[in-house]
Amino acid sequence: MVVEVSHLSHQYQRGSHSITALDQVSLSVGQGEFVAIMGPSGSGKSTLLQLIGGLERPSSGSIKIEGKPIEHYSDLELTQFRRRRLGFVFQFFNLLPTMTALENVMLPLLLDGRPRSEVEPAARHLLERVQLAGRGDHYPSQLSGGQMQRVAIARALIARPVLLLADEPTGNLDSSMAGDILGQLRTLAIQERQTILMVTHDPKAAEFGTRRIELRDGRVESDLYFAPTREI
Amino acid sequence: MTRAYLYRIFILRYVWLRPLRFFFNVLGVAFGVALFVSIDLINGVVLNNFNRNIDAIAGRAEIVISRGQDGLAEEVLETVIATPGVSYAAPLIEERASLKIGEEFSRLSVLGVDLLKDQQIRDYESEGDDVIDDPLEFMNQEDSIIITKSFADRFKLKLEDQFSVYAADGVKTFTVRGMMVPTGPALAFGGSLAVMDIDGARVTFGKEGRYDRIDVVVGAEAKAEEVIARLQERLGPAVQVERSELRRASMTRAVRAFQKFLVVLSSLGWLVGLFLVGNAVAISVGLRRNEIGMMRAIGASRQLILGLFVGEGALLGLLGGGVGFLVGVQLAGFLAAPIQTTMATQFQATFETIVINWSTRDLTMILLASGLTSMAVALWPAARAAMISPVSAMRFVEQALTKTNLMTSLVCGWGLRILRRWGQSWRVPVVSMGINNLVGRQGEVSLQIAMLSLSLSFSLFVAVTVVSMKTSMFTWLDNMLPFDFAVSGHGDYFSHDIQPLRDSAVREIETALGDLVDPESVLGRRTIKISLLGQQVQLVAQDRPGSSEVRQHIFTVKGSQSRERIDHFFAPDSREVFISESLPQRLKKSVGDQLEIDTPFGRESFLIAGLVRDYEFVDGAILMPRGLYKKTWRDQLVSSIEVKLRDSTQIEEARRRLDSQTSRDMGFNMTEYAPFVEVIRRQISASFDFLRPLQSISIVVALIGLLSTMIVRTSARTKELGGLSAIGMDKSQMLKMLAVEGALIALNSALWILLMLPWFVLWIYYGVPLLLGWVVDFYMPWGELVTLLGFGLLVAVIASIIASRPFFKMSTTEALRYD
Repeated sequence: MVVEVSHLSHQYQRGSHSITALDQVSLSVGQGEFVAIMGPSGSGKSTLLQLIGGLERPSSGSIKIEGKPIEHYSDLELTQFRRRRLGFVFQFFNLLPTMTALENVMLPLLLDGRPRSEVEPAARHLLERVQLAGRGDHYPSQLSGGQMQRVAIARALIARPVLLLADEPTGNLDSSMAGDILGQLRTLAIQERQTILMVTHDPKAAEFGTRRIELRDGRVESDLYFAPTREI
Repeated sequence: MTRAYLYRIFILRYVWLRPLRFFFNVLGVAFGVALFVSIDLINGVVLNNFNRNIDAIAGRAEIVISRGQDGLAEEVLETVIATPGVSYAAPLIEERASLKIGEEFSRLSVLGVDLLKDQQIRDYESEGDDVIDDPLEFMNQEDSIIITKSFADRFKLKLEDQFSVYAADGVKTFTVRGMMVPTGPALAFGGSLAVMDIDGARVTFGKEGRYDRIDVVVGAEAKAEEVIARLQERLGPAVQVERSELRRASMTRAVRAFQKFLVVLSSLGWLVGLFLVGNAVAISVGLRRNEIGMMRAIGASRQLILGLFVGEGALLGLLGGGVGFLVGVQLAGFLAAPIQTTMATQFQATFETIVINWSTRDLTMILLASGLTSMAVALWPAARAAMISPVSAMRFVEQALTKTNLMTSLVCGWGLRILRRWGQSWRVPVVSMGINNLVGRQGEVSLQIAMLSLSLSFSLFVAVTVVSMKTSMFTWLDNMLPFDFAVSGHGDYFSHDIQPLRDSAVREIETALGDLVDPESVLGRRTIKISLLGQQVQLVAQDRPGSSEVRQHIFTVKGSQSRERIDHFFAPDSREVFISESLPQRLKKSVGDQLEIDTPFGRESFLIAGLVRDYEFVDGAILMPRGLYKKTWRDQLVSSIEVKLRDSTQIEEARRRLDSQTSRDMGFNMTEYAPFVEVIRRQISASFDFLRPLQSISIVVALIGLLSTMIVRTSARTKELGGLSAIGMDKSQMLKMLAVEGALIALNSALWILLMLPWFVLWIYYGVPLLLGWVVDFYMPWGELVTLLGFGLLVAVIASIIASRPFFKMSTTEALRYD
């Protein structure tokens, strides 16, 4: 299993009230699965993604990635873990505006101390794969929303992550661009057995996945496996 | 390598994409640094000039024996020579003298030496074959004088030319018998130096039976420290026995105190610049919050984030330091003249023309200091950046500049609450909207208010210092000088750089003035520097005025019963002294204590009978009746003679009688007090002129800081104004609202200034005496306060409108889409 979540709960304070975002959630995700996590606002889907991604620490329960529990990692260990084993794709692309597309893609490996000369060929290759071969020297402000999100996917893949986490990756794109991005993610899952966890509120986006988990009030309401209905 | 690459793309690209903001910030730091650099360079040059003079005169002497201006009794020389370990001892007379060369007057320093023996200590070198190579010839001709080549060139003097020297007994003519090339002592005082035989110098300057100092060379096998201990034991504590290099330190103490005062003021300018760095980095962190979160999410460590923002601070500091250094060198050129005037006035010293020099070491030190201090102030916002949770990357919010926290509440929350209550009573929509806009953007507004408050406070701080010092001095001046005029020997009466006269001059002037004066209305005054408890202090000996009215105004005695205290002070058997207000703390003595003073003829004890306000002498003054002084110091010289006429309108008649009935050879100078007081007032005002640039710079930095913080919100502001326009607000209403916002920022800053006032009062009553040794009263500079507040208002309103200018150039729909 790539991801094993067991009895995961998370509470946070809002003023004097304690809010339960996740309540005793347990689930497992195997290699090559493309999981769409759905649910209404406040159901806990983004919190689940953040906890699995080591961005926040759970109140209780355990999270294992590749069989290793991450909830007791130190801050530095979590940072290195994210850098080397995970890839992130955000709704608002979150590219560094002062870096070119190529530099944005190289960034995780540069942060890991790898020299530019070693990283650059891999980054160029990834840009080619996301059909942005000629845009490496462009700054994010010179790219469209879809192109920015493809750069973000390339950046998420540069470290060959065991798990790719996507938080509403198409939430800020029109339907044509959204289809393009989701198609690329599904290709990754099917052809390269890349494990993907994607949070979305869009049922059409969820149709690109191989499994759909519905959350409501911090609990798993349904967990369905199905063959993807959308064509690549 | 990889890390350097990351730093480059994260910091430099960010800067490159926002050149205007970065330029403003660098400029602000540069101004602060420039001010510090200019003061530091001037201080360095002045101190070097001072030290060069001391070193050039000291020559090979390892030990210097001295005793303030009252000198050493000549018997001391025998004791010194007889002390084991002393290889050689050379006595010296030092005097500032007035000369008349043709029709020109000049001042120069005269050394009286035994040329035959003195060459063991100092090198006197000439170009040609003159008396320097034949000291006996020099000594045999009583009118011999040696000048420097540079002085000779300045006045076109040749060997055997003659010029007049104003001596204690009148004018004496000297003949140039030698010219020194610029080595050894000839390097001192910019070459304004002459050498004459020591016995001739003692007679010329009324110093018979004394030496000003004795220079000692220690024997090869003796240790200087042991010889110093022996000499000190034999000569007693009244005599200063110092290693020549330590003498430099004690001589420069007073100069350093004044320089510290300047450094404190200029450091505040730098502080304002540093605040700008902290401000810039805090804004950068606020604006790049999402980037930071994203970088943390994909694996950037906290240390890396910390390093990136500290690096941004360092870049600002290094560039600001470099530009500031270059501007500071230029500024030093402008400030040198007024600072030189101030120091020459305060230390009664002649300084060479200040030539600003700088080295790469100076530049390196400033770059290091600017870089490191900027990194230090960037540390706090950088640490906050490092603490940002990576989850922030998931949320697209611009929260850093809008959120309220303890810091923003402290800076502006309370002030805005006061202003809101006041503003609501106006019931004017644009005022209410302006206030609500500020309340809703406290994060951003607190930076603007902090920037403006700091700059205005600094400017007001300088104004409070200047006005308090000037007004205290002017008040003292108005209550002082109950005479009509003073008569002195040649020299600069204002700076006390004058040739003393024999006591007989007092009687000669009284006789000449005849029926124009009452008895005891022509009074001698002697001022000398003495050494007291290891410190240089001015001793002022004053003749008793016959008129009780004059007596009451001659000193500003603090406390009650001043009339009785002054009468008692001048009583025939009195052994009382007054001391200036700055001395009790330095001497650890108070009124009623006995003050032990070492005279050339032994230790004497005097009762401290009162404190007087005095700004004439920066070292502090001890006042005593001249009768007591003459008896104790056996000194018959007077530095000046003060005259109170029966009828003050008879000044011209008095001048006529002095010209016609006194010896022209005496070279009497008459200084009328009424115009003299005006000159002093002007000089006091001029001596504070150099502080003006400090104030101007702080205002410029405030404008830069405000613009910088406001420009970062241009995008959000443009959209906000677009929204208001969409719902029907016209442009004139918007301009009014922006003006109200600017005005409220200025008013909030004014509230801060009110809070700063008690600290300014403490500075005046405790800081100034501690640094300068002067006790001054606090005076509020109301005019400056109103001007500063008005200027602050203007700056805030202009900055507020400038920051919103993109909106006024576009349509409402464009504004709503603006990014």
